[in-house]
Amino acid sequence: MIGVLKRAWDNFRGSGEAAVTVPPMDGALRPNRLLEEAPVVATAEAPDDLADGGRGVVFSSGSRLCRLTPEGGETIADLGSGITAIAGEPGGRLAAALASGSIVVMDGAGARTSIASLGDGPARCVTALAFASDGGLLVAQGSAKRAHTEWKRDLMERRSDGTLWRMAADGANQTRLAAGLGWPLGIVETQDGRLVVAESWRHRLVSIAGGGRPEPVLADLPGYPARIRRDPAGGYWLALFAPRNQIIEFVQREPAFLARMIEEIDEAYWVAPSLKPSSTFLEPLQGGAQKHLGILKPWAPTRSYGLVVRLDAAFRPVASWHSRADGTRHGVFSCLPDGDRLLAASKGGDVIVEIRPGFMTTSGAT
Amino acid sequence: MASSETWTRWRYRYIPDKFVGEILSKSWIDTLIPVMILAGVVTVFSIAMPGFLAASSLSDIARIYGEYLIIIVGITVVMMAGGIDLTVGSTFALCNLVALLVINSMEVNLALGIPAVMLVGGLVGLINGVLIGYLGMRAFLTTLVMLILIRAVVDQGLLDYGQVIARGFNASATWEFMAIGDVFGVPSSLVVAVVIAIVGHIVLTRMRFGWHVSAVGGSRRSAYNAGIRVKRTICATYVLSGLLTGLAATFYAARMSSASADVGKGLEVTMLTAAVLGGISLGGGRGSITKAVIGAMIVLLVQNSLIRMGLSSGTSSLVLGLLLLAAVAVDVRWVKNRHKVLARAYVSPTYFRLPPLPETAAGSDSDYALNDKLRGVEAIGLGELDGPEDVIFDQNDNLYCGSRHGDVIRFFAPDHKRWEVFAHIGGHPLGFAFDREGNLHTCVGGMGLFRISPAGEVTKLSDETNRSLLSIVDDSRLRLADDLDIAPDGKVYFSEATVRYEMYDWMVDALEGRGNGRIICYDPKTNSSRTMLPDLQLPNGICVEKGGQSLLFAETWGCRITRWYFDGPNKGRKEIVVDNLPGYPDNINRASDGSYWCALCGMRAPVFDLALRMPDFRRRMVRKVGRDDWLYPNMNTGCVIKFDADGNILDVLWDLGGEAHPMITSIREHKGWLYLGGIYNNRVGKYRIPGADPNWTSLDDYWGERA
Amino acid sequence: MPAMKLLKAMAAAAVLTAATGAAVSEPYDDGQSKTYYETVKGKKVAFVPLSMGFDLTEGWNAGLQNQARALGYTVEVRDPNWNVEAGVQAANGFIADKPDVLILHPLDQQAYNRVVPRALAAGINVIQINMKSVTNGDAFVGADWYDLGVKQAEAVVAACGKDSGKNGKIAIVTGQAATPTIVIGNMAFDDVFGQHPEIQIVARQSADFDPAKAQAITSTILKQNPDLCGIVGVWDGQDSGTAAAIREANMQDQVFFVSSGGGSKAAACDNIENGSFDAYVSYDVPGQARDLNAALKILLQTKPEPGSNPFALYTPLKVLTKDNLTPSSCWKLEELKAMGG
Repeated sequence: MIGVLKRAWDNFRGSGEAAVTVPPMDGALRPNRLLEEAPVVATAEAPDDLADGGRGVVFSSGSRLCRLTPEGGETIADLGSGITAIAGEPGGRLAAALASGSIVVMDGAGARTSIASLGDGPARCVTALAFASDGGLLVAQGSAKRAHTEWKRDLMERRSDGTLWRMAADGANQTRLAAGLGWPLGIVETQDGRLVVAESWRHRLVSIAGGGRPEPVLADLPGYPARIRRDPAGGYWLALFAPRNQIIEFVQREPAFLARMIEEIDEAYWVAPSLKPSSTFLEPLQGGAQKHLGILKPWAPTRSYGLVVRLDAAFRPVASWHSRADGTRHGVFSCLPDGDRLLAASKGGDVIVEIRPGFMTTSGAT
Repeated sequence: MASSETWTRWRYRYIPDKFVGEILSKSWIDTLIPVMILAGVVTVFSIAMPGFLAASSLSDIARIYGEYLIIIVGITVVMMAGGIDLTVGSTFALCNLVALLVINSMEVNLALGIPAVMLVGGLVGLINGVLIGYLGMRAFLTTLVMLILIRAVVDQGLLDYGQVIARGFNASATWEFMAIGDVFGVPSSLVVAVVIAIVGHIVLTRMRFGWHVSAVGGSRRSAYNAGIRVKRTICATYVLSGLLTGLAATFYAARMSSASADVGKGLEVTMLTAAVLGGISLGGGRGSITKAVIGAMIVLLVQNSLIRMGLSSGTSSLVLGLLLLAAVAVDVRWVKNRHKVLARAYVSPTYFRLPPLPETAAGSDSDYALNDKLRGVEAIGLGELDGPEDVIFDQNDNLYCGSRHGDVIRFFAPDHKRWEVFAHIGGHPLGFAFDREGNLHTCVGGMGLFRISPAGEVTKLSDETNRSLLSIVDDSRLRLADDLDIAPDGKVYFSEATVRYEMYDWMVDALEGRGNGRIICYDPKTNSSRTMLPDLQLPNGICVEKGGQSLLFAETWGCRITRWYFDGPNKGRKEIVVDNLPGYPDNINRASDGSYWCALCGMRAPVFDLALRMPDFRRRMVRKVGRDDWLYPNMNTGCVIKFDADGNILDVLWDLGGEAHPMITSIREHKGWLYLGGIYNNRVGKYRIPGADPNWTSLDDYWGERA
Repeated sequence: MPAMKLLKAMAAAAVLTAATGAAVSEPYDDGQSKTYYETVKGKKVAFVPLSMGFDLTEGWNAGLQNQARALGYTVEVRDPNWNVEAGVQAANGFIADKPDVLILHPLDQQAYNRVVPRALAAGINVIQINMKSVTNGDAFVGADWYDLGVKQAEAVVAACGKDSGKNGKIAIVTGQAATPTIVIGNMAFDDVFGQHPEIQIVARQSADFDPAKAQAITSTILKQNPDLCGIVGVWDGQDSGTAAAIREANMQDQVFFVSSGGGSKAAACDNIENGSFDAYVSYDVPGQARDLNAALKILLQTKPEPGSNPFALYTPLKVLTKDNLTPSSCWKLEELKAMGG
C-alpha cells in the first residue's frame, strides 16, 4: 500500500524511481578531450574486450581473438561465433565467452576446454569473465532469458535477471554467487578477496559478499558501467560504454511508448544508448544536439560517449578520460593497464587507444 | 489503427488543451487568483448569512467601499513603485480630524475645505516622499515611524479640539450628499472612487507617469539608467497616496462625524492586506488598479461579514492577519513559480499521424535515395554569415541574403566575394522576393513584412492581420512571418509559421503537431493584411505559379506541399501536390525548366513520427525532461528536391552527414547555379546544376525581360 | 452503555418538559397578563454595545438575556470591540435584518447620528443605553452625565476647595474626547470649577479609557505636581490605572481621587474600601439593567411609531465613600447573571 502511494507521489513529483534526472559529470568526472586525442595503438572492427594472457595483450573483435602487436593486431584464433567477453591469467590461460552459448578456456599450450552449460541452462549471454586469484573462473550472465545481442531492449526495459557464477576452470563446481543483477558487465576481485560487479543497468558498482545482498560501493554514475579492472599499482579502472541521458531515462518510464517503439521501429533508430555517434537522420535528435553554424556542440545531449574512469582503492573516482558528443571514440567497453600505459578499446570508434596517466607507476607491471 | 489511437485522435481533436497554456500566458492571469478568492468569499458568506447580498446591506458596504477604494488607488501606486505606505492609518485620522474641524465645526465652504484636507494628507505624503525618495530611507521604517508620529499629533488634536468637534455640525446639502447621498443608487463616495480608479488605471497603464512608476518598481537601477527621474517618481507616489487618503477621510468625516481616537487604527494593515490579496506584489512593479479593486472588495466583505456574524472581539483582526499572511505567501510563491508553470503548461501537443516513412536508403529505387551531390559545393561568405535563411538576386546578379544580426547583406557580382550591409531592419530577415519595380520584399521574424527600395530605404508594410474571433492568443500580431511571394497584381502572399511561438522557439512548435500557422495576403492597394488560410502546420515556403492564379505552399510539420488557387475559375480550391515527404519542406522556388525546387530543412526520424501519434507522451516529456533533451525533428541533415507541377519528384540532392549544409532552408536558381541558404548556417552554398539554362533568372521569369 | 443511559435520560427529560408544559399551558389571565406574554413572545431585539467584556455591558447583557429567556424573545449582540466604524457597520447590519428594537450604546456622540434616524425610518424602535448620540431614539436609559460631573466636581471641591484648607490644585484624567460622557461631563466640571476660583486645574489629559495610559499619565502629573490635592477620574475601568499610579507614588493620603462607574464590587466597593478611590459616583448597573428591560417591555407592548415620542429613564446616582459603604452598595456579575434584570 505504502509502495503504491510512494509510486504515485514519485510520479507526481518526478522524484525517486520516477526521476529522469541524470547525475552531472563534475568533479573527477569533469569532461575533457583526453580520450578523443589519445594515440591509437591499433584499429580493429568493434574491439570489445581486452585481456592479458601472460604473453601480451589480447583483444576480441567480432568472432576473432587477436593479439596486440606494435604494428596493430594479429588474429590468433577465430572462434566461429561472436565473442562477448574474454579474460586472461598471468599463467597464460585465456577464457572467451561465445554468443552461441559456451565458454572456451585455452591454456598456454593451446589446449581448449569448452564449458557449455551455466547452472541448468546453456552458457549464453555471458557478459563478463574473470579469473579469480585462486585460479577459478568468475562468470557474469547478463540475462537468463535474453541473448547478448538483445542488450538494448534489455536495457530499455530495465530488466534485472543477471547472475554471477564461480566455477573451476574446467566448468566444474558451479556456484551461483548472486542473482537479480541489472546486466552485470564487469567483474573485479579486490585485494581482500571481495567481488565487485558493475551492475550496468543500475548505473552502479556493487560488492558481492557471500550470500548477502549486493552492497553498492559506487552508485549514481552518469553512464552505464562496463568492464572494471584492478590496477596492479592500486586502484581500479572502469570503462563506461554510454552516457545516461534524460530522454532515455524518460522513455524507460513510458511503457506505452516504449512498447510501440520496440514493436514498430528498427533497433538502430531507438531512443536508446548507442555505441557510435549518430550517423543517419533516422536516429532521434534532441534539441540541444541541433547543429548551429555547422558545428555540433561538445556539450550537446548525446546517446553515445567515451569514458574511462580511474577509481581509488575505495572505488571513488579520481580522474577521467572523455570523448564527448562531438567525438568518435565512443562505446568503450573495456580498458586494461599494461605497463605504464592504459589500453582502452572503443567499440564504436573501431580503435584501441593508449592513455598514459602521469601518476601511474611502472612497478608491478606484468 | 489501434482503437486506443482512434480514441486519442478524437480526444485531441475536440478537447482544446492549448487554451490552458494560452490563458496562463496572459498578463491578466494574475488577477484570476483574487477573483477566485472573491468568488469564494461571496459564496461562503452567502451560505453562512442569508441576506448577505441584500440590496440594503450592499449599499451600506458600498459607501465604505468607496472610501477604501480611494485610499487603495494611492497605495497601489506606491506599491507599484516598489514602496509601502503604512502612514495611511494615521494620515486618515489626521485628515478626518482636520475635516471635522474645518468643515464640520468652522463650516468652511466645501470647495475650499476638501482641497485643504487633501493638502494636509498630501503634506504628510510629501514628508514621506522626501524622506524615502530623496533621502533614500527605507520605506517600511520611515512610514512606520510616520504612522506613530502622526498618531501622536492626532491624539493631541483630539484632546484640544475633541469637544469643539463633538458639538459642531455642518448642515450644507453638499456635506449631506457626501455623507448619505447617492447617484442612481450608487453612494457618493463610490462614484468618486470609480472615477479615481478609472483615471488611475489609465494613468498606470497608458500614461508616462504610470509607466515610470512600473519601471521604478520593476527595477530601480534600470529605470535610473533609462533616464527616469527615480527620486521624483517615488516622492510623487507618496504625495498621491497622501492626497487620496485625505479625500477618503473627508468622506469618512461626512459620514461618521466621529472624532474618536480609534479612527483609522489598523487601516494600514487593512489596506496592505487588500493590496496584497489583490495580487499587487510587495516587491513592486507588478499590479493594477483592477487588482486593487478586487482586493479591497475581498477585505471589506470579510470585515463586514465578520462584524455582522457577531464574532467575538478581536476575531476580525485575527482573520485579517491570517489572510494577509496567506496572501503574502501566495504572492511570493506565484511570482516565483509562474514562469515554471507556464513553461510546462504552454506546450500543448496534439495527435498527428504521418503516412509510413518513404525509403531513403542509398541504392534503393526510391525517389529520395541518398546521394552525395551536394558534397563539396562552393561556399559564399563562409564564416562571415550567420543565418542566411533565404537568398535572392537582383537584375545585376548581386546576391542578397539575411543575417541573424538583423541586416540584409549584399554580395557584389560577379564573384560574390565583396559584401556590404544593404539595409538594417533589426530583425532576422527570412524569405525574400522582388516586385516588378525592383523593390525587395522580406519577411522578418518577429517583426512582419518589410519592403526595401533599391536605394536601401526600409518601409514596414504590415505587422498585423485581422484578429480571429475565438483565438485566445492575440493572433492579430505577426510573430513569425516566414516566406513570401508576389502575385502579378502586386498582392503579397506570405506565410506565418506559428502564432503560438516566438521566432527562436519555432522548433518547439513541432512538438505540438497542430496547425498553428497561416497564410496571409497583404494588399498594397488597401495597405492592409488579411488571413487567407488559417490552421496550417508551420506553413513555410510560398511560390506563385506561372499562371498567376495559384501558389504552392509547403507545410513543414505536415511534410506536404499544397496548391491553392487565389484567383481565376478555381479560386479557393486547395489540392495536395506532394504528400508524405521524407523530410520537412521549407522554401519553394521556381526552376529554369518550369518545375520547382524545394528545400527540406530536416528529415523525419521514425521515433519522432511515433511520438507525434502519442501526444500524452510528448506532454509528459515537456514537463519532465529538460528543454535541451527534448526529442525534436532531425534538423541536422537536409536535402533539396525538384518536383513538377503534378507532384512528380524529378531529382534529389543530398549532403550526407551534413558537413557543409546541415540544414537547408532555401534554394534559388540563378544562371545555371543553385544557391543554398540555411537558417543555422554560416555560409551560402553554390551548386552547378547540370544542364540548366545558363541565362535563366528568377527575376525575368516573374516579371519578364527588362528593356 | 453511557450513550444509552444518556438517551434514556433525555427521553425522560423530554417527557417531563412536555408534562410541565402541559401543566402551565393554561395560566391564569388577569385581563392583561395573557396579552403581555403573547405580545413580547418571539420578538427580536438587537444590541450593539461599544464592546463586550467589561462590567457595564456584561451587566446589561446579563439582565437583557435573563428577561429575554423568561419572556421568550431573543437579544442578539454584535461586538464592535471599541471601534466606532465597526459599531456603525454592525448597527447598519442589524437595521438590514429588521429587529423589533435596536439597543445602541454609542461610543461617539456624532457617529451614531445617522444610524438612529435610519433605524427609526426603517420602523425599528431605538433605545440608547447610558450614552446618547445627539439624536433621540425612542428611549434613553442611563446616567445624566451632567449631574454625574457636577457630583464628582463637588466632591473634589469639598476635599480641596476653600473650606478644606488645601491648595486647590487638581488634575483631570479624562477619556476619549468624543464620547458623550466626556463631552457632557467636561461641561459640568467647567461649570462647577468656574464657580470655585480657588480650584486650579493643573493638568487635563486624555487616557482614552485605557488604564495603562491613565497610569502613565498620572505618574507624570504627580511628578510634575508633587503638591497635587485632587484628581477627577471619569470611569472606573480607566481609573484603576490612575489609582495604581497614586499608590505607586505613595500619595494616597495626600491626593483625593474621585471616580465614577457602574458600581460593580470589584471596580467600586473594593477600591473604596482599600482607599484607592476616595469618592465614587455609581450609576448602578443592576438598576440600569432593570430600566433597560422596562423600556424594552414598554416599547414591545406599545409599539409606538419609531421616534414619535421619546422618553428617558435617567439613573439615580449614588455617591459612595468609605463612610456610607454597605454590603449592598455594589453588585457582582455572577449574581446579576443569575437573577438580575
